[in-house]
Amino acid sequence: MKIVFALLLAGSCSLLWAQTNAPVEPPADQQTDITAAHGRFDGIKYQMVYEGNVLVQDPKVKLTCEKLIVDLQKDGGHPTNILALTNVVVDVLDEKGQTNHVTANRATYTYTVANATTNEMITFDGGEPKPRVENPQLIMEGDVLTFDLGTKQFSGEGFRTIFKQLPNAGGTNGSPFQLFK
Amino acid sequence: MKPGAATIRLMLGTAAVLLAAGLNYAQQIPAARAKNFTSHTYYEPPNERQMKLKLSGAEASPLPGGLQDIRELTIETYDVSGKTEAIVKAPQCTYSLFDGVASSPGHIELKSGDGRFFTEGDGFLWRQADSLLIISNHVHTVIKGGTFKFSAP
Repeated sequence: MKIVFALLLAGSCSLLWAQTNAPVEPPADQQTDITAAHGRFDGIKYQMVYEGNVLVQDPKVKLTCEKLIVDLQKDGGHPTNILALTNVVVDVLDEKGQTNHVTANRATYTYTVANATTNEMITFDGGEPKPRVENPQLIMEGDVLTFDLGTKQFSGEGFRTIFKQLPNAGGTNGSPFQLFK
Repeated sequence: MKPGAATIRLMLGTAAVLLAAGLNYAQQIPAARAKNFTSHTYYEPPNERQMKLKLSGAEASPLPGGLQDIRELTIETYDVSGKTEAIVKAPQCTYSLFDGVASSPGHIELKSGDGRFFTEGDGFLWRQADSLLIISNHVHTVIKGGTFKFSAP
């Protein structure tokens, strides 16, 4: 329901930026695995670049793409910028535990902390084919899609949404919004 | 064209001079055969007492062309406060004394000082001048502690 509400709010093409999340130390046992055909580490930029059949996996996400650029911090802190390029496919679990399947040409993860507030966003863009997210309730396609990791909401620019008809949704005359009651 | 023995001696001699002057990365690898060697590099003043890099190996054997065959290579880098930044390990590599390039078809591991970032692969080239490490095959990275949160919390 939150997703739909966010979509409706964002329908006028504005992006929603979260500024509500206090920095939280992640669980120590949380682990992310990245595999790729090739890679390089730039010790001056402190940047890791992966190329060829890139696969990223952690407990709540699976990402595949052709190229992944990770900006690391020398102090071992949180990566500030992660860029996934070409044939980006992301399967991410939302707060309901359902999978959101996202496809795009480009995905950009940004992490910022300002005034003790953490912002974590994933922006999907990159042109045709347009970024697209699909879950059991809906399909959303747009010029730009953004997923806020704090609020767990999608928003977008120039998007259209297709609501799916579920078996118990009241037949062909049922409102798609009933799906989310 | 392979360099002759005289050329190699000249090159090694040049490296020794540079080593003595402290101007060349070649100072980090023994130019002759050595076992269980360790070499240190320090920061420029005013941090000249702080170690910047520690390089060690089980064995170094000279090869033609100013190359060294290094076994059980370990490189540790430190920041100016002495905190470990990164640790690189390779069972075997060939190191060029004159351009500071190490390469190997074998395995390599790179770990951050705090252990939260680890990457490995097979086949690598390391250019010391611009701190570039290229891993040719089977790259695998593990990031611990959720530092890479490409996911919904």
